[in-house]
Amino acid sequence: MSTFTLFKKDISIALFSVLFLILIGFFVEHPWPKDFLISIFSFGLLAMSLNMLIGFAGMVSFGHAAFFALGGYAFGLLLQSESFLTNFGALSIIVAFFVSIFITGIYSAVIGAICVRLNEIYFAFLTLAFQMFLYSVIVSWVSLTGGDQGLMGGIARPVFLGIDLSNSLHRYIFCSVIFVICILLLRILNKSNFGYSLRLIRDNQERAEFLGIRVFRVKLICFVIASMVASVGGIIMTLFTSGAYPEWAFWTQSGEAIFMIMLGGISIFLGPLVGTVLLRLINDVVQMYSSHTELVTGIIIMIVVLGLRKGLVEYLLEKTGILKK
Amino acid sequence: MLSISNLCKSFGGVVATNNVTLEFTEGSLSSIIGPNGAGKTTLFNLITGKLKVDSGKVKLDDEDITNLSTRNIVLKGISRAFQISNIFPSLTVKETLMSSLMSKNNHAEKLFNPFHSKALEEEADELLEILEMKRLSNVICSNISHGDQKVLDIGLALSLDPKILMLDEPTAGMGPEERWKMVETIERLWKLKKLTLIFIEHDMDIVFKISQKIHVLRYGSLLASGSPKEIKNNEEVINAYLGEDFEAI
Ligand SMILES: Nc1ncnc2c1ncn2[C@@H]1O[C@H](COP(=O)(O)OP(=O)(O)O)[C@@H](O)[C@H]1O
Ligand SMILES: [Mg+2]
Repeated sequence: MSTFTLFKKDISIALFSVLFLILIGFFVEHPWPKDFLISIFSFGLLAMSLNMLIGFAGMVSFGHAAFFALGGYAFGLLLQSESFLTNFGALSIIVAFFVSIFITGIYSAVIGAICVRLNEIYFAFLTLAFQMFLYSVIVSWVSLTGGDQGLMGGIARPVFLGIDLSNSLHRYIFCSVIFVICILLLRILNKSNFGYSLRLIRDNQERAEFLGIRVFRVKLICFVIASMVASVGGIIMTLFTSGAYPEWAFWTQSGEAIFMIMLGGISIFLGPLVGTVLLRLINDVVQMYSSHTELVTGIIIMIVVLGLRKGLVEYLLEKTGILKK
Repeated sequence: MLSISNLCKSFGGVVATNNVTLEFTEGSLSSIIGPNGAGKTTLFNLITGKLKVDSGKVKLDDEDITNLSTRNIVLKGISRAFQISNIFPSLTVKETLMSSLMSKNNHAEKLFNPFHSKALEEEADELLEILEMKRLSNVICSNISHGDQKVLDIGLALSLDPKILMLDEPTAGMGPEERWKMVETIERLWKLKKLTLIFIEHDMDIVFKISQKIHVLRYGSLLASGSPKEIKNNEEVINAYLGEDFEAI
């Protein structure tokens, strides 16, 4: 049986989701839902890809947002470069998209080769250290990155295949399709042989080795793929804001992604995505009434984590009996 | 044939393996006995690549396999089960076996091949049948009994289709009845798969009943090697380990 037939259900769900998202795009006039959803696509990919490390493989990274930022900056810088735009013309967006993912892939392979040999807290701190390294490069290399002002001046969005990304509907649809493809990719990886190798490593790395699993290699592949998916999140954010900002590479951005995962739940595939929606909603609502967003979101997360001792999705599924303990 | 020669390993001041030379002929069933801390588990760790040897050699059919990585030793056909059962708490029994079969088939790094494939499930079912664990197929590993975990641990080692199977105290922590059932299982698998089987065991009744050869370790050194009869009558072994009033069946 081919991959396609065995993943038929997931592929169908993905197709329906794309259709549904496109319908929202066409029928909802107000810009808020679309803008909100684009931010969900972006940060959702960050959280979902981080959960590929944490939930699938048991590798708790504190520095995952670095790859989100790198993707965003690479994409933005390419589309600000005159020579790049003249070289690739109408294909600029597509080329910049893949080149940014590729650059992130290379960078994460180097970082990963150093980090994934370490376990637990050492892995966590080393990934954090590399993230802070990237942050300081972004902030101090003012001539290239605009320093702490961020990448200003907007990015070019040449029309390709009739798609005009400066048009908000086109942009929204483009981002939904990319988002769903990435989520489907994560889903397939989770259910594949590779996904089960990750489970073996998560549950018992030593024994996995005694089953002949190449632990280092599998972890490194996982790290690189997760980083590349995170970079797509950054690319979407750059498309949306027409810029890139150093906060994306700051450690709090990785912390927020961990919060999203904790809110939604680590063990349910779409848990982190629900967590993303919740955290963005909480953020937006609290911002309307108070300037202490961090404080309020912090308290809510504490209630969920300490009160439920699991993610919200996990809690609800257990309560309703869908998920057995 | 697996042979080790002049194997040494120390941890700081503790000499855990002291110049041990041993042979395990193809298809044999041997046991390793000795008091706690004698270096039995360490010997297994050295053979299977979990620990690096200080000096000495491990050879499999005249090929030097000293200090190869665990994976490469597994690929050579040596696999092991652990003293404390060492499994995957969040997977079901069947998924656990499917995973190790997947690894044996060299499919562990296939990114887009669905794990739940018919061929793999059938292979796992076959193994479940052999292990007599069908009834537990869909139970999460952390929820099965201690004894079943030990059997599953052995099943994992077995799923890799080894030539040599090493079991570290397979009956530890079991009641008498469960023990003998385990012994039956081990003997059955040994015959069925034509394995070279090496096991560490504390229950002398079991050791003397099923071993073809017994190796006695003490303070990291080999005290004696021989058939059950020879070991039973070895003065040194009686004094050092079995005790005066030892009466084997
Ligand atoms: N990884 C290790 N680090 C330090 N000392 C160890 C290690 N493994 C075993 N030892 C020591 O080596 C000796 C032999 O241990 P072991 O091989 O586990 O004995 P056995 O399995 O015969 O009970 C013991 O004194 C033990 O404390
Ligand atoms: Mg031991």
